[in-house]
Amino acid sequence: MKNLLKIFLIGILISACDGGIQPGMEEPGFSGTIYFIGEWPDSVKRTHIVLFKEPLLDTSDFSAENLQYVSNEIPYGVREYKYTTLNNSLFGVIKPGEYGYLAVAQSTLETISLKREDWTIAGLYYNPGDSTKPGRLIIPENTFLRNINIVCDFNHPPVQPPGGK
Amino acid sequence: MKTGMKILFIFLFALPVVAYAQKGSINGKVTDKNGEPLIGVNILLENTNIGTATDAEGKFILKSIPYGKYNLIASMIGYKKFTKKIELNKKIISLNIVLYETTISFDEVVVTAGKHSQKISDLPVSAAVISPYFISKKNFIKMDDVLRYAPGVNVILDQVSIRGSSGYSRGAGTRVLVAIDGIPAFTGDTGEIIWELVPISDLNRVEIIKGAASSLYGSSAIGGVINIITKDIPTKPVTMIKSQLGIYDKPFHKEWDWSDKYRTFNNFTISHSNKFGNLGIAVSLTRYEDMSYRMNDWQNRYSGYFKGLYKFSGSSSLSFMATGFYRDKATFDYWKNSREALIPSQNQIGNIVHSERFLFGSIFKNKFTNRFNLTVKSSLYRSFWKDKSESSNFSGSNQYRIEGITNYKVTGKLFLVSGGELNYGTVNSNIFGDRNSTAFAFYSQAEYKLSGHLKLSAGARFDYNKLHNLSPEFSLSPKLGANYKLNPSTILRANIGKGFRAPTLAETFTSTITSGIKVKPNPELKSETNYNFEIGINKNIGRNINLDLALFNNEFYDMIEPAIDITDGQVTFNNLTRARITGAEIVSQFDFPEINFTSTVNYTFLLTKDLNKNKPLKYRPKHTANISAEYSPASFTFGLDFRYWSRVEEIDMELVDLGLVPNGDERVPVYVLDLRAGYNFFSLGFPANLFLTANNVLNYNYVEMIGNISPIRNISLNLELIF
Repeated sequence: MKNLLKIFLIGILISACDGGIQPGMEEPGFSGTIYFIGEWPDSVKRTHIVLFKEPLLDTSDFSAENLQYVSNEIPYGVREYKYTTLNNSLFGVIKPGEYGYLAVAQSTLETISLKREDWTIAGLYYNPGDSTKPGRLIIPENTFLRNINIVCDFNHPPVQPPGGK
Repeated sequence: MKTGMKILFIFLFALPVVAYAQKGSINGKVTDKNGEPLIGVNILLENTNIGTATDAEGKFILKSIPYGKYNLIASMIGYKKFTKKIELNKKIISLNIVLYETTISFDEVVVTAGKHSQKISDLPVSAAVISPYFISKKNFIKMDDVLRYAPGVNVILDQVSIRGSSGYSRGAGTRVLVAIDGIPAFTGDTGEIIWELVPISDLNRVEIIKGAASSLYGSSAIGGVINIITKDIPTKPVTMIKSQLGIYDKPFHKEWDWSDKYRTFNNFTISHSNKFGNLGIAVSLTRYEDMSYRMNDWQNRYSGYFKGLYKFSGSSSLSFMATGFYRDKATFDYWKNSREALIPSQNQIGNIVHSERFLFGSIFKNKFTNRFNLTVKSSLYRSFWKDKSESSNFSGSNQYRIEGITNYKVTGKLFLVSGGELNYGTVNSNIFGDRNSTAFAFYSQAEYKLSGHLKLSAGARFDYNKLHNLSPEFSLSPKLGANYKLNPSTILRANIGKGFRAPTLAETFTSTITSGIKVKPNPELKSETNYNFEIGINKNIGRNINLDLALFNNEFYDMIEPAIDITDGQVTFNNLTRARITGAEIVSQFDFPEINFTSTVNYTFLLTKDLNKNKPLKYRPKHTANISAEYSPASFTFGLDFRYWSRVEEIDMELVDLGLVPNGDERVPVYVLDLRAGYNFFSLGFPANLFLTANNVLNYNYVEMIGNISPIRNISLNLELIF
């Protein structure tokens, strides 16, 4: 009986000596600040950060397959909004990789819609030094990017992707 | 309702039968083999309602007993039953009784979960009994922690599952019916079990019936029944003070060390019981504070328990029970991520839930003849909780219940249990709405001794359930069982039956947002059903070993599970799943009193399948094992308890994929080792017990529910003074 007990205790110690769940590596994602300039349109009902895998070059690119992440709602009327993609997801998980379109999108509908015409792009992420085209966001493995800032100037909205109203 | 109560009271008080005959008393003292007094031993005159329990000195007295011949039984879980034939023909008979320790002897333990007293060895289903001494020795504070050590029982956070019947449904509904002294204890809104209501310091035993018991208990008993039996009231005054102090160790990983100080918990209980003539009372008050090992997870609780028993005569009694608590508890739904596993996400910080829960119950028993008795149980479960956060969600519910149970020994071979039950519930809540529910049921079960060895049982229950303004549902739950004593050391058993569970108001009508998850109602939700089958064998090997093997199969239809609606990302409860749970369970007990050593080794194998998705069911470990060993030289006790779960195969991956629980798929097998030691000071003439417990001594990090690290290593000291 004593030997059995010894074997049992040694077995447990070997099995459990790694401590179980380990602290994870840094979770992929990004954070930053969104700046709002000008008066918020009265018609806006919801505002979100949206991330697409591929650039929005065609109406069909505004699709559930291409859409990778939607943040929780940004409160109406704020002038500045600090965000992080951690614990802030209405849809999707940020995975390492390259993304073609990051923007702040606004809708005049109370409900979530995946129709292109229901959305307006209020602000766009650009790569540093190049505001001529949508920026590409590269998220390496186990890396969390910071200072991914976006400016939403209601007086000078960015070029809208195809398919809008 | 008031008129109904008046009628009931007139009925109750009109029934007592007063007997005028010569009467005497039986008194005595019960000790263990070392001469130490045993407290709380049940003393019963067989085939009567006359009984009591021993006091702090192990003494008892049975008064006003009509002269006659009796079988006196002294029993206590963990000790061999004592039986003695007595002829009471003088004023006083005195007895000195010695009980000898044993592990839970399969043949001797009596359970009442079948709505009448039965030997566990006569049941056609698998059952287990937990003694209150195990609870004291392990310094348990909450009932669900106790159940984690029972064979075939899994607890995920605070939701209990017997043989894989349940996964985790965020408090909504239960597939195990929990009752206190046979009175069901689930809330009227969510239908959940609130374990803090259980007066853990005032327990006689915990009975666990495995497999669907809907044929007697109806909805919620689809996976089994846990019947918590409170202590009998001793003949002499007993006061107990129980003080417990515990401390959590630092986390295994430095990255998780969020607090600059050690976190502590403490529990203080004072209880007293006394008898005044035919009236016995027991009362206890408890204060519990837990800083928790996690941020925003603390709680403060004040709870109370009262039990009163009035014996009109040797055959008629009325008992009243009230248990309840006030609690403030911070909210920790999910971790921030696995790097900060002991910290909740930002939106949970500062959230507190205040809750007030009370269960009032009365039990009237009358033995009309030696063959026929009636029990009437009535109860009110009043529940209220409120979020002290931005959401300000709240819910208040009242669940009224009355049940009449008759036990009728038709012949020496045929025994009938029959009854009827009426439930009415009201809910006032901003997330469930203002709702009501109505249910009634009738049931009957016959047990027939075909020969000295074979006992058959057959029964059925009809249930009517109506939720608010929805269409009512009807259910018929039949069951057949057999128990065959192959030889003095071998018992075979088998049962087959149907179970059902009606959806709760919460599952049907919830509309809320919690931790970023939107939950929407589903008025189309209907009852789930199952067909279950079990065969088992129990064998004593010599005097020291008892083995029990069970094989079981459960076929679930329209299983209610929460799921995410992909069209809008909202969670709703649906009749989603056609599921199958097949398994085997081995329970072994080793008892070597000559070397003061006892041990139990249990293993449960579960093969669960969602037949629609062809995947295992969520939160059901395939392999579960518990090992306990105890060495008790003289007044010392040393023990170890080990729990093992294999890594859970399926979890709520939707919550992980949607980013609501970062790193939520992190999970491992469970290895939890606890050590304990105790000393009984009674042999030194000091009425105290001291228990030291170290839980999760390996400081192993695991989750039962995604994003929730289970308690890290903690040590507690428990001092019990009994006088």
